[in-house]
Amino acid sequence: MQVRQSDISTNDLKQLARLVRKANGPDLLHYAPFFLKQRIENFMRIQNFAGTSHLIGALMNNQIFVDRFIDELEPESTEWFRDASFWTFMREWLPQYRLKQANNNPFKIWMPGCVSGNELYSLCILLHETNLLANCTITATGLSERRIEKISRGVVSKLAIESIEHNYIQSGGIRSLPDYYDSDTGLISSHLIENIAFYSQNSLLDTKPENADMIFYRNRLLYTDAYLHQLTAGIFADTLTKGGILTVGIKEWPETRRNSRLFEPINEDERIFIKRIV
Amino acid sequence: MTRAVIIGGSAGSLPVVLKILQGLPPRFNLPVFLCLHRLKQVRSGFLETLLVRSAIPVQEPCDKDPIKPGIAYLAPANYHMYIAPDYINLSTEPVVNHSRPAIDLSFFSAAETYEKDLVGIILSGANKDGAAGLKRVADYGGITVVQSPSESEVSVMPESALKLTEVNHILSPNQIVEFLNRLT
Repeated sequence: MQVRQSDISTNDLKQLARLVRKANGPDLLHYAPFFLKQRIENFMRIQNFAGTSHLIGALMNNQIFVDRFIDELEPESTEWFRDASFWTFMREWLPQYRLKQANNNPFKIWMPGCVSGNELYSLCILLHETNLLANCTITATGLSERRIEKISRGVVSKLAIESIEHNYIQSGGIRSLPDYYDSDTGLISSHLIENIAFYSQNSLLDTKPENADMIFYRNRLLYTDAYLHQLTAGIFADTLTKGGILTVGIKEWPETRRNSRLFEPINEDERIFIKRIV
Repeated sequence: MTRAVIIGGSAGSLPVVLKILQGLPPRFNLPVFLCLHRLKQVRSGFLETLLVRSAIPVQEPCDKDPIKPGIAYLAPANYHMYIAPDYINLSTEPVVNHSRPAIDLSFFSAAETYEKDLVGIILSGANKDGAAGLKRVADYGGITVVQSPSESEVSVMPESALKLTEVNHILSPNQIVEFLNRLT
């Protein structure tokens, strides 16, 4: 039996996790293992490392290199308006939900786990087209300072460009994309994101808004384990105001189970939940 | 002893997958993982097509769903599907081999999870996705099967797999069904 040399052992993973934790990075031991191995193998390929011992050596006492490594572990969402039916539902439902709120306070949205901006830009366009953007305060956070800086400048990831037009139309978009995206500069229109507060964070507990009305966390639970799911769901429930909304990816569940203790579904297919009153 | 079966296919594989699922004994007691290239925007329809014909239940899993014997798990549209020891793990990482789901990624993880106790099958298809994955199954000592290129509607995928790996069996669709029936 011949197993590829680049296969990463459990001990290697533990050692890498220790190095990343020491550098104030995320806890890799609670990442989904195959996804993590795939990302590490990718990183080693890019860096031309023959094996994990080479990688571990390079990470030791080199904070800049550890930061780059952490950047590479964060999976990019590669599309705008991923899951058209989610966005078409939101387009109808969100203005109605907003109307039912018995106040005219700014609508507070938190989007943690920002990696590429694709989800954030999609949300901003939807809010703009439903006339909600002006009265929203949005906080966007992510683990990587470098990536958050890029998103705050409105940089559109190259991986998304192919899907932008098609997905925008499928999601019920009512304008034309050049209104929002300049293909020459590769930037999104600044008016969409000018009022967003951007922060990098080491964990979800840093720099989170209080009393959020809505949290967007789609397709981020895929990459962590049940322990972190419980922790995340608790943080989200604490952060949301009474009647606040949580959205996750259409193949995810809050707390890794279908019957959540903390959230009840508004639209189960699209994974839109309201915080339970306990 | 075989503990799981994984099947990868693309263009031209649907009739074969239907034949396989229809031909399994109802009490087939292994999990079957189906990683098939499909339209990413279409969420429904494909599963229903398989369900109508399959002798065993077919599910499109959610992330972290537990793996049970006698169930066929179809990789959802626009997600990669990793096979962990007890559960399915989905991913929205960038496409691999122009595909999401990528057959290679499902096969890599299944090979590592089941090692020699895995049967990997590559069916008809128009690109080379799955070739590296099947090699990984062989590297771990699993059993490798490729649909006979001459009986494949599109032979690129089986031929690519055969170029990389000295497989255990090259079989027609009917022979694949017979082979799987002998497993349990």
